[in-house]
Amino acid sequence: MRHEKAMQLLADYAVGRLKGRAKIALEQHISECPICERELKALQQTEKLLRGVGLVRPSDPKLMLTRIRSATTQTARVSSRVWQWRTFWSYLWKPAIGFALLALVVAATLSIWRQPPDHPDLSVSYEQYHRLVSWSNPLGNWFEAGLSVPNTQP
Amino acid sequence: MTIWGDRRMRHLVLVSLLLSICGLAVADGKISVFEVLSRMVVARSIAYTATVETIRLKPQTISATALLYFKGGKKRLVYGGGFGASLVILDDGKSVYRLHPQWRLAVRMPIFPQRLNFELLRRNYEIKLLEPEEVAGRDCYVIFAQPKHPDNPKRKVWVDKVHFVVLRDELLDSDGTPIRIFVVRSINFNAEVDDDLFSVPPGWRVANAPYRPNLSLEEAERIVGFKVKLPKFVPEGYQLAGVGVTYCSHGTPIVHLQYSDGFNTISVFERPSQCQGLFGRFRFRWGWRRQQPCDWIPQDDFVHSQIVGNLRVIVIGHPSQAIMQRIAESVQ
Repeated sequence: MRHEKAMQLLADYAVGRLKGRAKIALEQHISECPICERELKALQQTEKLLRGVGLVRPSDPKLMLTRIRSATTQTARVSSRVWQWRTFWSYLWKPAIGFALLALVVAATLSIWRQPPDHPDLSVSYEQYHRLVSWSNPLGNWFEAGLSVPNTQP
Repeated sequence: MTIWGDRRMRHLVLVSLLLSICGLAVADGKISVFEVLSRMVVARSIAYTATVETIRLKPQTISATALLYFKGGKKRLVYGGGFGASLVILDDGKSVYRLHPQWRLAVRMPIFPQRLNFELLRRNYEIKLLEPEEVAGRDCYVIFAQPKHPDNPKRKVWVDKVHFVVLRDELLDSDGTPIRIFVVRSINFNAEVDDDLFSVPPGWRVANAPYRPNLSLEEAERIVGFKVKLPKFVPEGYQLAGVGVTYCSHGTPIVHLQYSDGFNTISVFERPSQCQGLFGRFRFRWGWRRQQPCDWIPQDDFVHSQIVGNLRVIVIGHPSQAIMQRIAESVQ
């Protein structure tokens, strides 16, 4: 017998209502499952306690019924509100994440094209290094350094 | 360390010896070409301001004009540019800086030890003095360097007779057609040159360009983490003059091999064919910015780039495209 099914039948077993194959199967499960065994003990103790208290009759059964109905309606309202939010998110989480990712991609693309940078690139070009090699040489090509700059008078 | 052990001292002693040998010729009213070259190297204790122009004639003519300030071996080059673009490079005698006024930032460039190598010059060129000429209103010695290897470019240099400053410099291809011209349009040796021009303005931030010069091949390999392959072919007369390591803007290591024939330089850059950057050509730095993609190499007659095996090889220099392609393909 599966654990979930056993948990459902435990209450009936505790008050002696369970009979036949179901009872045998449950007893076998309880002998193997410490959780169900613990639950059964707790149920049996509760049942013993209730038996000791005896039956109490309400003074106004109609009023009591009204109170019970009102309380159960309030609980149902709260639980239905929770259910509504859960349903709402279960439908919306995928589009929401998709939208967030799309926004991230758009922001990254826009920032790539944003000019000018607020910080220079410190890397030096191949040609600049080539010219720097002969910087100390009076016959080197150090004076070619400015050829990358469009010409106007300084 | 002994005085002879110091590389700079050794260089100075050799130049002084050369000068004293040539002294006899000077006393006689004549001057040898190597004395002109030697005096060019030691002509550092002067000060001048000049307007200089660099003209590149191939593939299309482009030119750049700059103000040059020189004092005691320190240099400041101010290039003007259209659309607000400009370039300021200064050399304070210890480091070379590129200034970025808009960010109040100075990028410190590496110092390369490569100087004039007389032995290499003698080996690769027939150098002679031509008839004196005038440039920017000043009398000049004219040096002509004919390469011993006919495919290499020729060189013609005009040197001021009094101060031994280069006033014009022409690079000519094997047919004698100019490839690049450097010319001083005007020069003033009496100008007051302020020392502040050669230092980074106070309050500016200084950042180091990502470059490690003067490495051995083994050191470079250890830093970059891949096997550096020397080209099996370089034009005759060229020899390896230096090895450095730099990084692209995404952090991919690049090896820089410098070849020289005494006058001219060829650079060979090697890096993995695929950029190792986390986001390829983009990088996050205070917001997403478009970076220069590593595979983008300027299309130019003086630049050749191609993939050889698992490396991207970039060759920069003045040889023809065919020769630069041959250099790149020989990196196996």
